[in-house]
Amino acid sequence: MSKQRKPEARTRREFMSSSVKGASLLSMASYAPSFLQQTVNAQNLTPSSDQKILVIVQMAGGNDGLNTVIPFEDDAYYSRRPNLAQKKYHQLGDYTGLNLACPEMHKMYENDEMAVIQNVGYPNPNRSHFRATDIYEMGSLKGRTGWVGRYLDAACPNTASQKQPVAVNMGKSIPMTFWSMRTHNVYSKISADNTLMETAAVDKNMLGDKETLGLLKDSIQLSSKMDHSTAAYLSSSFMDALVSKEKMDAIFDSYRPGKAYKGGGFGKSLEHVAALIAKGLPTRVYYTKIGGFDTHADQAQRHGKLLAHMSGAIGSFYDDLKSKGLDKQVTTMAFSEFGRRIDENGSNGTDHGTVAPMFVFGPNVNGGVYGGGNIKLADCGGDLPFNQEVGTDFRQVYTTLLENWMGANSSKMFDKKYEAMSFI
Amino acid sequence: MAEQPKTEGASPDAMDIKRPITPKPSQGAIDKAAKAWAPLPKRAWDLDKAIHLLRRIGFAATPAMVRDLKGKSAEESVEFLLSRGESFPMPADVQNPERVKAMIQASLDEADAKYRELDTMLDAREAKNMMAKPEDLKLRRYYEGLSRQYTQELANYEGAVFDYYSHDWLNFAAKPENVAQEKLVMFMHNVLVVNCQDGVKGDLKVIYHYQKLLRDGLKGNFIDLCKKMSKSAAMMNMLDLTVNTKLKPNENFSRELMELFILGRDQGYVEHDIKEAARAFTGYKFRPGSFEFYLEQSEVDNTEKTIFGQTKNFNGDQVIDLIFEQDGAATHLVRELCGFYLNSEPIPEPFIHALGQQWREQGFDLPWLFKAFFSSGMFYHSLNRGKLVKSPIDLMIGLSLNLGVGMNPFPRRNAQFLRMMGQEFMNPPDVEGWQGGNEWINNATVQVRRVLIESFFLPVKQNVLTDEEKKVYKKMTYDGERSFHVDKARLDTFSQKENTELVDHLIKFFLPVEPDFKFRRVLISHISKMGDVPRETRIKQVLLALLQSPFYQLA
Repeated sequence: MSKQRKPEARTRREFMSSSVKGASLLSMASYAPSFLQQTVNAQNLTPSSDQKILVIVQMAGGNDGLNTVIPFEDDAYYSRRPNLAQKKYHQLGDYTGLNLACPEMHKMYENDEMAVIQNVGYPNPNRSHFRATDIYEMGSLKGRTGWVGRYLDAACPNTASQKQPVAVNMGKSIPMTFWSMRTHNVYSKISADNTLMETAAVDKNMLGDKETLGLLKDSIQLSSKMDHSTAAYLSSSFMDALVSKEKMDAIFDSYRPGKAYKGGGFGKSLEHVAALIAKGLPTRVYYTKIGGFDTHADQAQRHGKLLAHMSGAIGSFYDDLKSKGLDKQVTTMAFSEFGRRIDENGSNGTDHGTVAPMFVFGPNVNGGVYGGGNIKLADCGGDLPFNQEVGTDFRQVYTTLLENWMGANSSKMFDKKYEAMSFI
Repeated sequence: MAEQPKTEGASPDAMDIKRPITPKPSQGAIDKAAKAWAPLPKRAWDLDKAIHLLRRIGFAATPAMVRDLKGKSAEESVEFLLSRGESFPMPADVQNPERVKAMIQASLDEADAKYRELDTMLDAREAKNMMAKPEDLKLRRYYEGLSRQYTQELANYEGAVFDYYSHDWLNFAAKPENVAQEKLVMFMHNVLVVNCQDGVKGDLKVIYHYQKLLRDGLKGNFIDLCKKMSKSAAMMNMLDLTVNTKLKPNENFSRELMELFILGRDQGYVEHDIKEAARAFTGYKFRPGSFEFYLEQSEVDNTEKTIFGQTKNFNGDQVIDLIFEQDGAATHLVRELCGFYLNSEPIPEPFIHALGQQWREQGFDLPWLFKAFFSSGMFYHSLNRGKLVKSPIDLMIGLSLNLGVGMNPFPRRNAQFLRMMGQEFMNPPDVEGWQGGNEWINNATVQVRRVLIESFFLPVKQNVLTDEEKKVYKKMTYDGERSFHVDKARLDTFSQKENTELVDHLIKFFLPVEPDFKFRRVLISHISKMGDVPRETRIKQVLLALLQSPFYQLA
């Protein structure tokens, strides 16, 4: 495998001279958090109204696609799901309906702001939550980088030295989707809370406590007086990281949405995304998660509730963005690691399946139902099959978003070049 | 780039081609700069400089390592440190990856079983409308995560073996005998770069052999090292030498040979030289299994090549000799050495040329270069102090040494930390290697560095370990003798010192530059505070504040 360098890669000397330029601005000013420091902000990627933002929603657990996008014309749907089949729905197309729990999504569909891509998956689908999620996150059947990580490597090469994050995760770790070869400025609420390490037994007055933080801040303030650019860069990065959490929390706390968000905890995370977008962060990609879709038993109520949350949250999110004139900048994509089996099981639930629908939201979307068409359930065994005729490879969806929305060249990001679709 | 010859394949006279090169400083300036490379005078050698040497040539300075240098001069110390290194045997897991697979499977089965047990129990409670205990929910999430981790490792177990190799190497490199040698291996690897392809079977043995080639090559001269490197399976894979044939020459290797390995970008070569040189490396192959180099005669281009204005049927080794005759060869590695070990900002050219000229006279001997470099006045100059940013590996091993604590015994955890900080072992993003300096530091990596430091203060939770993990843990702790976190015994080594003495000791050993006197006062007064919080806790807080500060990230 060839490891040729990209043409824009630079030698150490060139890299150093540009970073020295950046840092020297910092060393001239006495330390102040860069969010507030005008001169430093001038160096950063300024958010523009053309800034295209992608929000990723992971529906974790394996969403039951058949009860979300309902094949109401198919008799086998009712005969194979005597208890769970949805008898009422919002109409989407001639053969498909949307679960009644999603009125907000349906409204967006009617406004040409939602695309549904049916039967999304990949060859030989995997039914392990972890393995399947990893495949979706990597955008590949094997590897160590995430598809957004590869996008960041290719399209955003200099984020490491930027003050503000290029990608943000509303969770506690850096999701595999963001794993990249180069370092990028990625924000998430990383914590030492890994249950492998004993946190209960240690002194309450210890890690991350006020006193240590105070000492740390003192050291940073004092180190900023060191007269060379590396130290200055370090101090400001450290202070930024320390202050970042405080800043982020302050942005969240002070944010006033147009209207209160529906959708529980997931709604809250989308509200936080809106807060960061409204603040003008140059972040290109946001990652959020709504869990609980693993409905092996007593699916009816639980699934409905989850869909209602998701639909309510996304509806609130776009209403909010619209009220601030930001909606045109944002496209949201929802995926699940797999769908569920056609037949209901003995516990009024469904088991791990294969393909599932993906959803794309936003004013730039060309609304409609996409994908190769409808699968006759009577012809299927236990699972919906993945095949090229009626199915869509998930990497094609990613490619479409990367090329048509983010304006990136995705040809080297997946195992081969996929053709972009027309939903955006 | 200079003008190219008008006709492809014509043999241009070198005199007509202007090869770009950065103008050489005047010999006067070079001679003046040469004084900086003279050995540090005996009277100037002191504790502060010994600590600086240990921190730079390895990963950290400890009182024990300083004691090893007692009675030695700067030159003797450098020679001592550079000659101690042991050989690094192929890790058992690299030799036999199947064993790793079996271990991972065993751990996965156990994590799955524990998860199912908890899940069933919690479902049963839910069915009876009973509240779930938060610890149980947390534990179930933990085993879910663990199961996910092991499932991924199993699917990609060559990657897991890689983490085990990385782990074995980290522990090897952290031994005081090996620190200087292994840091040099890291340096040389960052010049003659290969990286690991995504978990392709067999790659790890290739990478191991490459690392060994570098380690052994440090004892000889750079020309020989480059020749051996050109015939290594790892480099042949990296830069397409195995598909470089007479009919379809591939310039990937010859380009990097000049641009990144020997001369430096735009330092005395043109496209034509690269194209012609590529033909001298045709037919390079290696035998699967033994990775032994051989020439596939049918693919070798046995015709004349014109490189740097000389025409001959050059073979690969001869091309390397020819490249070393060019001016740029004297200074490129010196520049890299200074960027890695001396100052992340470029050193003025006269200094580079001064050392380079002497190195050429020494036949590009590497031990000579390293000895001269590390024992020179320049190396200890105040302008070069605290001017490097510790790489993730520097930080991890340095913490272990400074705190007297073993590195976490679970390979994937260390590997994950290193990845999140941007440095996967032996796997830089491309053939340019890691740029280092400020590139290690951004919002995300700062957070990860802080979490890594905190993790050295947290004990491992025994009751969540799988049986397989318990075995590992028991082995690594020598049944409790060795610690992986700053426990009471470790803390005693610090808390036994009186407040002022302790702060001075910490500043001296942990920080590369003297901080503002105010900071020293703040630390002393913090430990001295009376009240509810015990002195030991205050000491931990001071340690954390010091280690998490920007000062500690510098070297």
